[in-house]
Amino acid sequence: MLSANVLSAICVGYVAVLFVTAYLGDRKARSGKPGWLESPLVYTFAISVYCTSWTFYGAVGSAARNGLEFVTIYLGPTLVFVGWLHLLSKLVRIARANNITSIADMISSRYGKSSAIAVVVTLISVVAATPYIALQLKAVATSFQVIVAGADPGVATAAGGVAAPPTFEAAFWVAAGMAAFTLLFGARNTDTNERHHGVVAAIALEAIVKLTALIAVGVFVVFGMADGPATIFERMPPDLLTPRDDFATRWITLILLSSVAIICLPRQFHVTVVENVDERQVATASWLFPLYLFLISIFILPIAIAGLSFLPAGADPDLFVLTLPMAADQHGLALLAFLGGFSSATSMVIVSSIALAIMISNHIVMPLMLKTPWAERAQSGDIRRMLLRSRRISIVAILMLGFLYFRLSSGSEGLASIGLIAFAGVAQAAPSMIGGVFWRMANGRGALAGLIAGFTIWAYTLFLPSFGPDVIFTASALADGPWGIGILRPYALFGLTGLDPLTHALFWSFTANILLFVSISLLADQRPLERLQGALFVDVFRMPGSNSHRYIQRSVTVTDLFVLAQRIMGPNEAQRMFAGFARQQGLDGDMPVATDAFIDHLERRLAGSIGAASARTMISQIAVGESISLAELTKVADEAAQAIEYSQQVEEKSLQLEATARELREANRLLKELDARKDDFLNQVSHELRTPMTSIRSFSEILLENADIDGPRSDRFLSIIHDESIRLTRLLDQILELSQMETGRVEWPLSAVNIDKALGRAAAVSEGIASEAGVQLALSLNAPGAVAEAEADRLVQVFVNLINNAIKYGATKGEAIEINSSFADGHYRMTIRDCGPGIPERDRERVFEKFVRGAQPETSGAGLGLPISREIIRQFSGDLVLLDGPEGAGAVFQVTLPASVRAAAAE
Amino acid sequence: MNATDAQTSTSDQADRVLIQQSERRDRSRAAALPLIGFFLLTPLFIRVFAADATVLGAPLVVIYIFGIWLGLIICAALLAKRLKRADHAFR
Repeated sequence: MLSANVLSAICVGYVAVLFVTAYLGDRKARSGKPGWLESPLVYTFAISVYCTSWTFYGAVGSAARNGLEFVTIYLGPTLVFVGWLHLLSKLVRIARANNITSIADMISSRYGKSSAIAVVVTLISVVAATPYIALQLKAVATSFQVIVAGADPGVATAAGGVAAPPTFEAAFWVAAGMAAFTLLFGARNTDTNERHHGVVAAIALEAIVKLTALIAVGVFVVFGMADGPATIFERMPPDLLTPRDDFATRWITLILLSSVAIICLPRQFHVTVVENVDERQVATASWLFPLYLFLISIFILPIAIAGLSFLPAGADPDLFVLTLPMAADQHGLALLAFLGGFSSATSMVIVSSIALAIMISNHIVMPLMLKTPWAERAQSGDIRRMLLRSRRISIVAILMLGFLYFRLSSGSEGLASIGLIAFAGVAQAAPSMIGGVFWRMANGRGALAGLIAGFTIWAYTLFLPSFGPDVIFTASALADGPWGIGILRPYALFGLTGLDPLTHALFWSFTANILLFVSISLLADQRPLERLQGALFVDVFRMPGSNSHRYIQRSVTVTDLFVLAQRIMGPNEAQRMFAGFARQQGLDGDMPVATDAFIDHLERRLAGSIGAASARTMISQIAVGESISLAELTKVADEAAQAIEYSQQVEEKSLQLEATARELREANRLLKELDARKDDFLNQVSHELRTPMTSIRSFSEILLENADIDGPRSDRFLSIIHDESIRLTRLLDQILELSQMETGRVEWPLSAVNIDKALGRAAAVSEGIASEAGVQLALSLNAPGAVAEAEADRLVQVFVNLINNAIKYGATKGEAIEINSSFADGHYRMTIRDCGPGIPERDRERVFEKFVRGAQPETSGAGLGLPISREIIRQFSGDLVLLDGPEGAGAVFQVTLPASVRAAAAE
Repeated sequence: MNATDAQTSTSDQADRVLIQQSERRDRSRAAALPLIGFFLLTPLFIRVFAADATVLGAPLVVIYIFGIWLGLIICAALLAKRLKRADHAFR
């Protein structure tokens, strides 16, 4: 179909679009208004650099061979992103607080800015990534060839990929083009604070292209070649989804491995953590990235099935995405698929080479250069230039290495499984990284030992054997172990057989890695700087990272610092930074005072360019008298712990306080009410006492002053005085009685009393007043045998009081006051209904209060009748209540007493 | 500070405590998601659903895996939205 030249031109055109995008992105970022560049969408698309050509072509191949196993590679990252928001945000926060430049920098920073750890992690990353980059180049070269050769089945049959000798030319030019792009946009500056906006923009564009391409092919396959999903699945080979023997172990291994890889792959760490511009983007990515993975996976299985059923047997499943549209003569779609694969390969290559170049220049080149005499000849900007140069060289070197690897290994099967092998390699960094941010005791020596052991075992059991027999290991060494030592067989180390090589390698490497890391961490002591960094990392959410200067004291002259800063940042940037800090310190000049805070700030800033370990080395070279105050660290840690505890206490306290305040308000309201009632009571009492007192006083005065008063008059006066005194005494008695009853200080001798008889007596007593008021007492006694434990006279007093009240307040001439008694369920009930207007709703509560009298113009009572009656009844364990009834139908009082029925009723 | 001020500030504080508590709960929920997801995607479940049945023409196990996957995404999206809202409420 397309000639090689046309296809090359299309590739060049596509890359040109990438260049323009990156250029625009960079320009937009520099203009100070990043806008969409910092949107969570772009961030998420950048993270999808996870989906390389290994996904684009390889996932279909995997689905054709192993059924559903391919989804594990995407389920792992999904699980991490949907749930480990905490881990991701913590990494991002730490990276921002410390200007972390790479995963190696992260781990080395955590363990006391150790250079050794940085070097080991860098080496692991480079070793694992190089074949992976080669895989991308191979994918591009192969797809290029397939497109150019047209849909000639002979081309795409051989299991290894292409029957014709692979053209390295295409791969070379792809590598060169990527190198050019990365050099231009990825090695521009040395400071992580100025992120690679252009690159991120281009990567995001590529993410859209590869997703669109794969979905387009999928839709075409499902709806163009077949008639919808059902027909596709009908064509599925019957045993495609049947779990294989080692299905369970591989399934779990792959999910776990891919969840670790999504954080530890250098390129993933770079886009997720280093390039992150806003912590809140992580929250959106937590579901958007899994959605991307979901969408990109959804057509993989249908494409694989279609490839197996529509294409001739023996066609390479890894190329189905490309060969299916070609077989259907859809050249445009095939070209789109090619571009999708191309974009997934290039984005991986670009980001990986940037991440690796930063690691190589910061952690390998820089420390080496610092040991040479070159480092002594301090010149402004020299380190910056050296770094940029070494980064550029590293980028070219990495791509060259990838290309060479591709060239050398093209004949072997080595590349096919390199994706997972690379995952397993970088996963070795996981224990020390994840342990480091959650476990304060994690120790540098443990991390280093774990990393080296894990890496070695990974290389021995997985990476080196993957080249095939007689490349690194001889066939006999692979089969029987080196020198015939059986327990050293790479695929069955220590006699562990029955696992597939990946699970086997992961089991041993992780066992050694984690065991060494944990046990050495538990046994060995941490260096002071390590403890400090450990605390700052683990507690990053609690302790503001910028105050680590509180723990490190050292002295340097500001001139030395300025020289150093100029070397790394260049003269202009250094001047700007120093002047800015001087202003912050409130100084006039351009030079700040070299306080611990400033030295710390500068070290952090330099770490953003050359990595934490090198930044520390360089500052230490010019600093004297460094001391790390662990006492201070402990204090701050305690302070932080205290602050947290305190804030929790405050939270609790404030809730408690609120509850208490509510209770207090309620109590206060009650007290006020009681107070008012008490005032009322006193008023009433004094008023009630005053009336008889006044008449006693005035009549006695008359008698005293007028000695000549005649007999009958003085008798009358004396009798009034006597009556009033009696009334007064009675009143006082009542008050006393009531208060005694209320405080429970009265004890009457109780005996069995026939209640109906007492009621009858009361009615007889009141008969006189009743006839005076012109009402009848309609008595109906229905509980003749009911007997209660009571005091007979008191009971009669209560009944009399109730009847009198009814007459006094509820009498209507000619009507009857109904008095009823009954007995049921061990209770005697007496109700009395008057024929008056009843008691208004609002007064019903108050009638039992002291000195409250009914609305009657002239009353003689003191208003103590009902309260006393109720107290008396309560003394007998009964109750006196006012029953609810309609207004205007007369008031109904009810007396309830616990009672029993006896045949021979007592009096 | 008069009484009403004191009252509003207490209720503000109580609101904040509530928000913090609900955020903490959301974070626990988020932390539980991968565990639930991992559990439902263990080989044993896959084996159970690898039965010879189809739903809407697609094999049951495919529907199961992609269904769980989509469910996780939806839960994560809802939680992210809630956490963001809590975040805004603080600012």
